[in-house]
Order: sequence, then structure tokens, then C-alpha cells
Amino acid sequence: MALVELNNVTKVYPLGKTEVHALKGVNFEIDKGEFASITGPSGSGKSTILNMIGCIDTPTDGQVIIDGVETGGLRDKALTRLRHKSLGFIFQSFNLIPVLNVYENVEFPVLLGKRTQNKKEQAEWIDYLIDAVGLGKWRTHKSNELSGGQRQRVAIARALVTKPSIVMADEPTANLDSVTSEAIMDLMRQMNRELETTIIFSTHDPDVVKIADHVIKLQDGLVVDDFKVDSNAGGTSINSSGLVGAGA
Amino acid sequence: MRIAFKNVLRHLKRSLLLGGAIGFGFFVFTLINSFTNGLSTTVERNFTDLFGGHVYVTGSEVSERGSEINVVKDTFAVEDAVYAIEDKIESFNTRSSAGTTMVYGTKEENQRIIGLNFSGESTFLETLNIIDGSLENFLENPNSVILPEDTVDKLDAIVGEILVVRTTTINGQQNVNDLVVAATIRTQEGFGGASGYGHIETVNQLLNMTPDQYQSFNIYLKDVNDIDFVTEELQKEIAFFAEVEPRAAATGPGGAGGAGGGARGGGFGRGGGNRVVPEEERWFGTKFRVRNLNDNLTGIRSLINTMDRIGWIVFCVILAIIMVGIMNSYRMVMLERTAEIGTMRAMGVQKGGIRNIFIWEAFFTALGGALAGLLLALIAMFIFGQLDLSAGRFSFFLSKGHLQFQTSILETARNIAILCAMAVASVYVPAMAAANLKPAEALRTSY
Repeated sequence: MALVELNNVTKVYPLGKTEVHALKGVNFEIDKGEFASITGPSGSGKSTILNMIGCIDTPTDGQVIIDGVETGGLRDKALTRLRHKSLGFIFQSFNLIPVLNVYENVEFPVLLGKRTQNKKEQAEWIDYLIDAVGLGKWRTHKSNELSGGQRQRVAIARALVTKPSIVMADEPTANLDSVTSEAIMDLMRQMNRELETTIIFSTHDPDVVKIADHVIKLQDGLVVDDFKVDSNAGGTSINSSGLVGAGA
Repeated sequence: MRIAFKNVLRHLKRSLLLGGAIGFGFFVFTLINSFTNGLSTTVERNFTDLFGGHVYVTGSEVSERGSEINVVKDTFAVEDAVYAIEDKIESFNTRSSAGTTMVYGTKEENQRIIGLNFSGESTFLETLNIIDGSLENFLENPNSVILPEDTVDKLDAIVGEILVVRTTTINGQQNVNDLVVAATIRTQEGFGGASGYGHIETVNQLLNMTPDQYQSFNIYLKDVNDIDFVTEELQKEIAFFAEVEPRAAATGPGGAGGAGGGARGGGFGRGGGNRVVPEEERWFGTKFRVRNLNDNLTGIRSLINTMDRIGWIVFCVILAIIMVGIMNSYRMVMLERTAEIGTMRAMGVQKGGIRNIFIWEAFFTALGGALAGLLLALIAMFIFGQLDLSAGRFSFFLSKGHLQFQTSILETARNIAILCAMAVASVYVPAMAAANLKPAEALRTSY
């Protein structure tokens, strides 16, 4: 069974007296453990799809199913619990909490829910993540004392701290230089393999897309290509014919 | 809560301004409130000392010529009645009062002399603001008086001089005696505070009364809250032995003369003194009147209550301004932190969590402001309390020449709680608006 399933998802935003059709009937599936990329030009609906999967926005029509749960039927409290338990977020602008230092930022999501580990184990896990993203020496620094790459590393550690089954990363390298971008993508890939966390990221950078093992291409709110990359034999297109979805 | 606390420190300047406004409001209110509380206590104590107690029993007789004379000759009726309530009584004493004309050289000055039984009024003696001479001089010499400085100045006399004292006895005859000025005290203007003091035996002699007689039997209570109960009980008990004026008459319009006269003379009967009683109203023996401090303090209490109310109005106005300030500030904070709120919501913070961050922030700011305001108020009270204002016209409102401030811990805690609750109430609307932000929209927003 797919971990993420979008069935005929549409999203319409009101914009003054007009409406913007951000998604026009999107269908795709993402399996557990995938390192999936949602790609496409600006305005194609990448962030909107991530918001749907991340349960921070609701579709106008269609179904978003996360780990077998249809999110459309959940109320705000349940959606919030689902986000906390199963989903992690990495943002383009890092979105760290400015009043907290590196350790506290990473710790923050853990404090929101019921404790599943004892205090010592929890602290060890946070320390492990901070070390894994290479910020061991910066654990007491606040976000305004860090570089962009370092901030994004904190965001990665924060996204993984609750051991979510899915991590969403919206343009995680958009605000970073190419060297740092590569390092960040390598780190995310490493986390994907080591922790078996499904990572779904959006990007319009072709170099970044290359690292993904599942690529979903969007254009004007529709999936135009959806293929998995076999590391041995190149891409295996699922919907290589182009327009896929209710509208197609 | 930790994030809320850190948020307060994050925008320190804004928090200081907001907390400063709250602190200023609380400072003003606490100062006014403590001032009125202190004033109430000071005035009550000054009146208690002036009248020599909390409850007073006076008596009057009809003379052979048909005049009303203020004297208690039947002392047993009062003393027997007092035994019935002795567990409520701290101490009691007796007083007499004479309106005199003091003569020194070619100068004359009218001066009321209150005769005290000093062995029972040590507390009162401590409150006298002696500026020349000494209490010892007075206690050693039964034929001496303590006079207000104004009287002594007008007579061009000094401490140690002998004055000729002329008075009218209770029977209407003229009497003269020589008295030595043992000490002068700061004149307390208003409310009959400009009295002189002598030994009760000497004053009785001037009034042609025997040493054991008196005009007023004064009772200090252990608990001032028992004042009305004790007054009623005394009324009932004395009524077993003698005639007693009903309370309504003692405190009503007819008794107002007594209260006013009491203030001027120290609580000695109707104040009219020696009025001719119409034939049909005359009585036999002593007719008693029982009054208490509350009868004399109605006007002052009303003034203090008014000041207290003004304090509350000031507090409410300041509170309203602060509430509007807090509401506006946190509306701005909400806009500033929209993306941050979106991030938190995305990470799994429930709506209530976002709301609580705002509420705790407002609470910390209000609490910090209130504590700072309280501290400033305590410092101001200390400074104002050190000022010597005894030369002013309102010394009756002072405790030994100083303003007295009284702060109750419980009242202060209640006021801080009110302030914090109002701060929380005013932040509730922006807090709920922040909590209800849709995560995706909040994340998209940038200001």
C-alpha cells in the first residue's frame, strides 16, 4: 500500500473576485522509504501539493490519503496530531523559532506531544541528530548566529526528531548556494537511507532532481510526468505519456 | 510557557514600554490606595486618641435652676454596665473638659482644656507632638497644662510661665485658677484638634466637680470591629440602672451637636452645655448617652471612601488604556509572527498552544509591570513617609507629622491578579486570531 496517495485532488484559491486553480486534478502515489521529488516551474502547484500531503491545507476536491488515513475527514485537532506524529517539515526559509537555540529548536517538536522516550534517551537522540547534521559545536547558538546552510541543517534535524514517517521539504535549497545545496541534499538523502524516512521535496533545480528516486513533474496544476528511477537502469516512467489526472 | 517568556525578552524594548505603562498604572493606583488606607487608619487613630477611646458614655443632669449640666456623678451605673462586656475591652479612662479663658499679662485667649486620667492614656500621650517643654514636667505637676503652640504664641507666654485660667463651672459660676505651661504641642487644626490638656482632677476642680466625677467615660476596645456591638450592649446594660438616650437621638440630628461638640470638646455630651431644659422635658438623676467613633467619623469616612473611589476610577481608566495598548500591541505581534505561528502549527502545535503563548506573554508582561509598579510605589511611599509635614494645616491627617501609607498584602495580591486577568482578557482576541490562522496561509504570509 502506498504511504501517500492523492486521488483527483483539486485546489482553488479565491483571489479577489477571481479564482486561481492551483491543482486541477492530481493523482499519484508515493511509497514508504522513497526519496521523492516534486518538480516543475514556479506556480505549477508544487508547494500546494506539499501542503496537502503535510495536512496544513485541505483540497477543494479529491482525496489525500496518508498512511491509509483519508485526511479530508479529520478535524483540526486530529490533523494537528497527525502532523506532529507522522510528518516533518523543512521550509525554504528555514523557519526556525528565533527565540530558541539550536538544541531547543530541534527539541521543540518533541515537547509538543506525549513523551515516548525517557529524558536521557530523548536528549541522546537530539544530540545524535545535531551531530549528524554537523552542528555539534553550535548547539547553544540561536538561529541568527547561523549561516543559511546551518539553519537548514537545524531544520532537517528538527523535521526528523519525532521520527516521522514522512518529511516534506519545500524548496529546501532555494536559498542556498550550490555547494551548500549539494551538501544539504546529500544529508537529506543520507537521513532517508539511514532512518528509512520517506522524504518528499519540491524543487525546480534539475541538478537537485537527479538525486531523487521518484520524480513527479508538474505543470499548470497537473502531473505531466511521474517516474521512478532505477539506480541500475535509469528511469521507469509510471505516467510518461504526460497529462495525468481527472482533467486529463 | 518557556517560549512565551523568551518572547517577552525577545522584544525587550516593546516589553519594557508595555510593562512600563502597566507598571505606571499600578504605581499610581497602589500609591492612592495605600494613601487612603493609611489615611483612614491615621484619622481613625487620631480621632480615637482625641476622644480617648472607641466608645464613649456621657451623662447629663438637670440642675436646680433647670439647666442641663454635663457630668456623670452616678459612676456605678457605667462601671456595672462595663463589667458585662469586659472581655471586649482593652482599657478605659475618664475625661472632663472645660472651656476656659487663659490670661497672661494683658492678653487673653480662649482655650479648651481636656482633663485626662493619664495613667490610662499612655497611648494618647505618645501621639502628642511636643515641640517645647516635656511630658515629665506635666506629669510631675498637677497644676500644669499642655497647650497648643498657637495659644502660647498669642499669649506671648513660654513654657514654665503661670497663666490665670478663668472658667465657668458646671453650675454656671465663675472660677479661676493658676496653671503652669508644662509643654507646647504642634497645633492640629480642624476637627477640634487644637485642645489643651490638663490633669482630670485639676479640670474637675475648675468645673467644680469632685475628683471621682467625670464628663465622659471612654473605652478602648480590643477589636474595633466590635464597636457597634459594644455600643448596643452598653446601651442595654446602662438602661437597667438609669435613663439612657435612644441611639437614634444620640447619633441623629439632636446628637449631631453632641458629635460636633464632641469633636470640639473631646466628646463631652451635647456640646450645647448649660442649656435650659423646658419643664416638660426635665429628668431626674443622670441621663446617659452612648456614642462611638463611627458616629463622629461619618464625614471623614465619606471623604476617604470618595478618595478610594477616585483611586479605583483612576485604576480603571489606566486599566482600560493599558488593555487597548495590549490588544493593539499583540495584534501587531500576531502579524509579525504569522509565519512563525504557521511553522509551529505545521510542527503540531494545537490552536490552544498558540493561544496560550500569547496569553502567557501578556501575563508575564503584566506581572512584571505590576511588580515594578509595586516596587516603585513602595519606594515612593517610603520617601513621602519621611517628609515632615507637621507644619501644614492638615496635621490631623498625619501620624506624628508624617503621611502614613498602608498596603495590605492580600489587597495588593488581589489587585495584581485583577491587572493580570485584564491583561489576559485583552490579549484573548489577538491570541484567538493567531490560534485560528490557517497553517498554510500563515506560512505563505510575509510582512
